[in-house]
Amino acid sequence: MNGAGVKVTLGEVLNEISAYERDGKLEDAEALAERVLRAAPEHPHVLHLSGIVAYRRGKIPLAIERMEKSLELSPTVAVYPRNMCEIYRGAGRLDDALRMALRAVELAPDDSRAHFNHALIRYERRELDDALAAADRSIELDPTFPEAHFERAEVLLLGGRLTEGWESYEWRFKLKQAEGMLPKTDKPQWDGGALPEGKLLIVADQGFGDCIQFGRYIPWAAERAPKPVLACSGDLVPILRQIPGLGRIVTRWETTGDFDAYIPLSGMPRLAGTTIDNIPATVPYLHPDPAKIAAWKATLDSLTPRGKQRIGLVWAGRPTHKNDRKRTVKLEQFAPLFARSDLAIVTVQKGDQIAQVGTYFGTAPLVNLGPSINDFTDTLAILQSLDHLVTIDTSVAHLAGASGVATSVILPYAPDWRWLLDRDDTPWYPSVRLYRQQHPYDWSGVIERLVAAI
Amino acid sequence: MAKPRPEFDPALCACGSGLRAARCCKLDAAGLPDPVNHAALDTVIEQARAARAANRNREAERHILQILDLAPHHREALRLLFELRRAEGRIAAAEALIARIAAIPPDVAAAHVQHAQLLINQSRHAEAEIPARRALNLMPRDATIHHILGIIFTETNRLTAGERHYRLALGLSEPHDAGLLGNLAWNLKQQGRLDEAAATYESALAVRRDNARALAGFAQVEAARFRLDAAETLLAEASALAPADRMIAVLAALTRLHRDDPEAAVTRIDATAAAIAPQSLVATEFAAKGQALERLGRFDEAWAAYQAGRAFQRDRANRHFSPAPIEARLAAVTTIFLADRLAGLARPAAGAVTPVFLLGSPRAGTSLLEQMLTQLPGIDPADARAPLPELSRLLPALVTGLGGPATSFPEALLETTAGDQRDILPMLANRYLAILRAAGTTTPETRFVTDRNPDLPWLLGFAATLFPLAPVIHVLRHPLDVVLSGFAQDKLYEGNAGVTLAGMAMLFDAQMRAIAQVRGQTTLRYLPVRYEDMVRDPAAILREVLDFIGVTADPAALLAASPRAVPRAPTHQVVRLPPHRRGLYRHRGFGPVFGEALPLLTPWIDRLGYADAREIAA
Repeated sequence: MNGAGVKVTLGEVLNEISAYERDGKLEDAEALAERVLRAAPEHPHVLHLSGIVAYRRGKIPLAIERMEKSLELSPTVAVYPRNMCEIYRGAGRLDDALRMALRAVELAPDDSRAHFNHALIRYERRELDDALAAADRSIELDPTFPEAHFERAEVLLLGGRLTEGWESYEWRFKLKQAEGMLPKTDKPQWDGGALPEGKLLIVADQGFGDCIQFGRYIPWAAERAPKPVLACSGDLVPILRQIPGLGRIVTRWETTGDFDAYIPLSGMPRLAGTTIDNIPATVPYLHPDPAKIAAWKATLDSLTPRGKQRIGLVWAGRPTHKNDRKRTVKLEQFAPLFARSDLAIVTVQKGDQIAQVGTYFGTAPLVNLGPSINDFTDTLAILQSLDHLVTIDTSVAHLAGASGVATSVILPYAPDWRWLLDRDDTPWYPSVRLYRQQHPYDWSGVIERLVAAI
Repeated sequence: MAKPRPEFDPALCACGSGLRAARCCKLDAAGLPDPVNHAALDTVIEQARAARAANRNREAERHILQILDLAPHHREALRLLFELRRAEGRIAAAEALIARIAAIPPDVAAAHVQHAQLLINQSRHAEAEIPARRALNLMPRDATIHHILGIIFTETNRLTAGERHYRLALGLSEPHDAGLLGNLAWNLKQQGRLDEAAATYESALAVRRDNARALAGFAQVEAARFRLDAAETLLAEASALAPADRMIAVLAALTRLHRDDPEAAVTRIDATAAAIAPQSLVATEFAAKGQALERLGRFDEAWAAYQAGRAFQRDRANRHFSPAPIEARLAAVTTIFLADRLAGLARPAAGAVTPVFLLGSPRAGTSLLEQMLTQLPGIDPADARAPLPELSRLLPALVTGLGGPATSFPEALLETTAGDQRDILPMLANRYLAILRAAGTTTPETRFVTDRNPDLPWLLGFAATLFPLAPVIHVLRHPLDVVLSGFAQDKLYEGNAGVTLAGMAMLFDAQMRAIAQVRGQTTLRYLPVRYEDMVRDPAAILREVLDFIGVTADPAALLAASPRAVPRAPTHQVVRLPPHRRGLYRHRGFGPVFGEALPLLTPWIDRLGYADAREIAA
């Protein structure tokens, strides 16, 4: 804040809070917001802004309380319900979120972002026609609004309208977070035509799961442009190099060599003309190293009791994933699984959430294998020694699906588009069964149904 | 410029020797007179000697203080003053004086021996090792010094080394001393070598039968050999010899309790109380009385006895609960045992014998599980004698010794990821097994060895690092029962936890959190079992555990058989009983006495699934 004796306007202070918030300096933003709030406890914009900061700090009830109050004090400021919609959506209060979205649109019918937020909440409510209409209206108002196009893609893909969806999906590289995903080049994006050997650069552009899912298109590309060069992150190398047809694999843009065209992996379904009916699903297309399989089998034979089915388990995703709150659960929510004395649980979870194992005292013995797993090749090998994998929607689900492991995936009410709707199988992975929430943010019954099927 | 005038400082030394500080603990050695000139004081020292011999101690003291003011390193004067102070019970002064005598060149073994003995008499066995070792360096074939070292090593739980020195002492002394034989017998008993201990006690008693402590020790050996009649006969003989010996009276009471005669146990303790009135019973006596009263269903009186015992420790023995050592141990675990930090550690290969770690809070029931498991040939008990704690102390020394940085445990673990230090963990794993083999705890027939070291909750991560595929059986019990059982005895734990119920609760919480940390951050071969299930259906639990460790056997037949003779009897064998249900939900007899423990225990009661436990002991 400014030094003593220097007068600043409230607007300047609010801008300062916004700047902190935008730059991710949330502690500074919170401290300043609290000070201002003490000076102006009834100021609607102070309340609103401090509510946003509180939300970003994970203090959701406080955020809602402040933002509701700001809305009461200034019921016609359109940005309040627009932001409130997102807060309610994040809190799982979808009816309230929809009410806010409609109010925001009512107050600012020409605000593309209000319609975009409206589309998001309709997606969450699985009201796909309304979601599509809202996204279209947003695009109509701002044709270069990448998020709206991407949301449109997700709505279409979730609804199974893949051909249309892939077209809008191309907007993903204009999203802010997509910066740096593609090479800086004047070479064209590949059109699917024939290229000389080694002259196609394939870019593993999305998350780990996406890369595994779309890795199945590499042989298709190699038929048209033999021995394509693959650019991917280092941890993907041992996984993707198993796929036939690839040429060199590089992990730095400088080493791609000369190429005639490039294609992101996630652009291949569009190029291949993929529809629900022609998804290439020659599974397994990932094959773990036999020596690793044997070593992990020996380890698991030592660690788990005899005579029990081994059930792999993943319950938490990467916390920075945009939908992590929807998909990640607590270990204890698998209680029906843990009550089965005929099962042995093998957690292949990585990351901070492994700590939850420390207070596990269920009936089924549990082996916390995560700390011993070095990379995805370990996970891939371990999966072969399990009878079944139970997982949330995370990369391990793709590893299991691509290697043909019997798997149950629990899905939120409005899942990621790739899992489609209203089916318990997936055309992408024949060995995977889907268990969906019946109500938003409500896992009741999901685990029970899954356990009954094991 | 005028030189500062030297000033006489009359202040007496804080150690209580009676000397001025400048002539005692603040002595400036550079200003000492040449010992050759001590001869000038011969007349005075003779006067002091004569006075001391005639028991005119004040006169002797006056002479000695005069001499030492003039000649602070006068060995004979210091010796006389040391003897005086020791006789007066001024132990701090005596200790300071004997330390000074021992430091005067030339090195004299007798001074170091007396220094060591003084420390041993204060139960400061670890400190006594230094002067005892110096004495041995000077007189390596002295029986007394070997005897002292035997005591030191035995009391600091280095039993094999203790036995070695006792035997060296025996080899150097003829005729054999009954006290030395008795100490050797106690050492053997502590090692679980009961038959040898019994034979040695017999030898000791053959030399001198009127040795009440040897008779009592022998009685404990007989009880551990399931010869309760013989134990009671020996105790009766000991009691007759030393009717006022309260330790023997407590042993007699506990033996009655073990034979399911709590009324007689109460009577015995009450007799002691009457004999010593108005002096108070001590903690051990109160605990024994509480247990007997509890057995009789007199819970209010039992609780009062338990509380009185702990109050005695707090108020009379000045043992107050301090959470700091517990917090430090927990912090060490939570800061080091993190999956990412441990990822680079070497993984020792499995040895010929696999440890089975019996993990649990104090009084959770690991001894019962050890008793059940070791019924099977090939599974032998290490009890609390397995060497994880000493290996944890050895680890930093090895890191440094191999050229690594100075560090401490458990941080030292992280230093084993680089350089020659990578060899350390396999070395320690081998040493763990070698120590057990050398102690006779394991034999060529042993496949598994059960380890229920009380430090295991703190050292679980270390154990799993040395033996990544060793089974860890975690004995869980209702937290209120654990804390009650820890309180209702005289034993103390870290930070004197045990003197209060809240302290026991904190220890439980901290150890469970330490275990949770390691479970959450490492891959363990882990199986939880419940004490309640063990006593309700021992065969089922035994089957489950044997299955888990990969052994096929008939658990019902094992439990029905007579106790198996194991290579080294565990210490809990003396109180061994078939699994019984007396301890099941033990806390329910006591009513609302757990208030101070509940804030820490309630979350664990919930987590462990005891919140809905309504079953009562049948």
